[in-house]
Amino acid sequence: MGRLQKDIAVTAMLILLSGWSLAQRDPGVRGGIQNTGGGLQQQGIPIPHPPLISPHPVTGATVNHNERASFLEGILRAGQLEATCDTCNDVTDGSPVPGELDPQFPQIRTNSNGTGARHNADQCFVCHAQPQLGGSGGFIVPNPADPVPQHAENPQFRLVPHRFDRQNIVPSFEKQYGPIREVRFKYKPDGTRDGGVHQLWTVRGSTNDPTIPNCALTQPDFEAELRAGNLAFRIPLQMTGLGLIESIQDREILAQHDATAALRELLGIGGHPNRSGNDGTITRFGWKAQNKSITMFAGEAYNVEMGITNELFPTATEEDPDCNGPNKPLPNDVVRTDRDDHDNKAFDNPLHILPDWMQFQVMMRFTDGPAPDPNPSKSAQHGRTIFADIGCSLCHTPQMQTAPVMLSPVLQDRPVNLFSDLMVHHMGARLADDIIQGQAGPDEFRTTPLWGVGQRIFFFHDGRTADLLKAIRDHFSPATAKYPASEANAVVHRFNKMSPEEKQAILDFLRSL
Amino acid sequence: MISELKLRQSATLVLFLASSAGVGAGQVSREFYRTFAVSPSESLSLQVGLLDGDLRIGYARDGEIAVAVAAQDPTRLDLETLASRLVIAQTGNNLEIWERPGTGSQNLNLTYTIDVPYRTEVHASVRRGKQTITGIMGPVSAETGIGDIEVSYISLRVAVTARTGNLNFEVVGGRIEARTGQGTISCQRAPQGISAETEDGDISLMIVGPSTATVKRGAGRIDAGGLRGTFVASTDAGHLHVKAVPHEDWHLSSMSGTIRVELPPTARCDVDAGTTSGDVFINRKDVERIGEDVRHVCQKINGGGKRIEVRTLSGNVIVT
Repeated sequence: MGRLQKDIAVTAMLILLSGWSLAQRDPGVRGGIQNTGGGLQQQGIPIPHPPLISPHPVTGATVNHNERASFLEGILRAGQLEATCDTCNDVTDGSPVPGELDPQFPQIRTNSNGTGARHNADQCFVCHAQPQLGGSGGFIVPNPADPVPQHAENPQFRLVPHRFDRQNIVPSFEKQYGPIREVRFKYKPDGTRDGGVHQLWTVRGSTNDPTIPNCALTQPDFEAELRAGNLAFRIPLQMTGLGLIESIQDREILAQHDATAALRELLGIGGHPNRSGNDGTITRFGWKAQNKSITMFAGEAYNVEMGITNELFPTATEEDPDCNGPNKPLPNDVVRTDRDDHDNKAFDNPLHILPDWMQFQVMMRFTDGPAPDPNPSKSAQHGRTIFADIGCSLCHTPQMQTAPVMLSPVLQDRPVNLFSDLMVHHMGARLADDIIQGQAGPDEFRTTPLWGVGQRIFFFHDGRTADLLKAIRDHFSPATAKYPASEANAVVHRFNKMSPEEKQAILDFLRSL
Repeated sequence: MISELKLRQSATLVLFLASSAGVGAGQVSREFYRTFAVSPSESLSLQVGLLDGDLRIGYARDGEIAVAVAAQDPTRLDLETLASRLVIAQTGNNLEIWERPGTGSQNLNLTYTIDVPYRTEVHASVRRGKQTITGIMGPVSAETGIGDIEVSYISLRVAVTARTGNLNFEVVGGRIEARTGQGTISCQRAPQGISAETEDGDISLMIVGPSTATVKRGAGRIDAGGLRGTFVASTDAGHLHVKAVPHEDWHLSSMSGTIRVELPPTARCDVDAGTTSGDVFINRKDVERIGEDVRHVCQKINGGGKRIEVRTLSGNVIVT
């Protein structure tokens, strides 16, 4: 190689390297994935518990004794492993479950007959463990008690489908180190809209339950539906801070929205609330803001995700008698009002305590919002400014205020740094899942609250990426024959025009949340 | 109790109450509030030694300890006086809080609230005052001279002693050791069971693993329901009542109290019940009593199963 050629090669290398150094990249899960959720668990450290709501920033009000006790009880219930009946778990009722999420954690079953014939999971925290219990979907160690150390992984890959030797086929979209996914079918075989969740797993083959030997349920043909493009994926959202979000009045949501109307119009951003068909108020939980309240979410998830019927959702999603056992009452997680019930619970479980689904909502209500990095970098601080300047905050509203008077003083009249307007927006064909929920159309999604995004692993409703940069860019979508253009297009265009340093600052800012 | 010598030897950050003020901007408060950062990747060891006042220790969040001291009547809270007697010392993930001897805070009605991470081990001692410990992994050891102790939502073992005071436990994952000189003991949902002993007072157990319950003297009674393991219970003059499925053997005794055993209709067990001067009653339509001895019954119910041994000197025995 001649001298000139060498110089050219060196120069090219330098340019390439400088380009790399200038290229922006997602710094990844804040603190490192190994120091959060299942990453801690595989080091023998229990997954941290959800944080109790912090004292009121102005009045100093805290939860009272009963609220704290209910919060703790909720954690306990959300950690319990459900079997298919009261007497067929592999541990004595009230015993710690060996090898489960936290081997030290007392998992006490109460008055639930357990997992439904079809389900997506058999324990709340299976799908809510990143970066701590009650968080979003992450990885967990299939069996922490195994003498051979195991890596944390997607619990839908090995753990849940084969618990108690159940004979489930794992669909190809559940990857070992991929997102926890549940599926909705877009259309029914007759071509009409479906939109409902189709549970991944059945209890067929359970070796721990002698009452359902003839269960012959089969899973839907997920691969065929996948090939037909009929699947819409959803990943678990975090449960933290939901009590604060619920405490925001509709008038605050609408006022915040109105305040940005002129700027949004300039950038082609609309947005509208999803509303309850019952009382007309703004619904705000779930990927499409389809759920009215955390109570509604708790009851619905208990039945849809785990197949456990309750007062709020009293009908089983799968009623095959061969797979539900002869003694399984309906609903099976209820407020107990009986004194001497027929199956002797008065002797085995004399405590008439609240059902699981009610305790879940109390736990969520008093779980603090995700805490941002207390020492954000200069780049992250700069990113906060740019984030607002280019228009991200027109939808990702940094802060709202809770109602002036709440039943619990710790929740009232305090700021909520949620980074969401709680509205639904058209996101275009790239993100559209072709599912309609309430007034949220096939390409409309709630502005995902960004608090806690710094420690999430996967992004978007379908968990399509773990790269925050791609997540930003996937907000862009041109109009198609079926869908309008994404409302985020102008803002993404501004983002793309920024310098690499500015883009990096935004990524650093987001990972500081 | 933490020794003063130990504190002197440790290279610690010593904080006096006088160095603190206020709970938030714009607020006038004489309440002490201070936070300490701790490593979230390690367990916290918390040792507390107080002379007078109520102590509340509870889970709030990882990575942080928050200590607050409040008086029922804030106008009487003399921070400077307190400063001379309260010491908070931190060494990494070890935190010690204690009151110097001879400086008790009578009449102030102080409440010490300590919010801690889940992975916290507690050793607490209070001379006079109520203790409440909740929501942590443990283990927990707590002792008090005069005052009640409430322990709830603890994952590991718990050891609690009071000279005079009621002891209350709810949802404890590890074994419980509970002793009180005078006071009641109640426990709900302890899968590893409890060893409960009171010199004089009632004992109530609900949904517990292998357990013992002892009332040493007086008319204190024992109530137990939802037993999961072996159960050994004895009273002096008090009554004894068990309502549960006999999953394991039971041994129930009383000097002069009546012992009542409630079993579900389907329960299988071997009943061996005897009284020296009282009567034994089998009040079940489905069980035909064998033998003529009114003071002793030894027979199988529903084909037999775990052994239920019942003994009382002058009380009655009732099996339903």
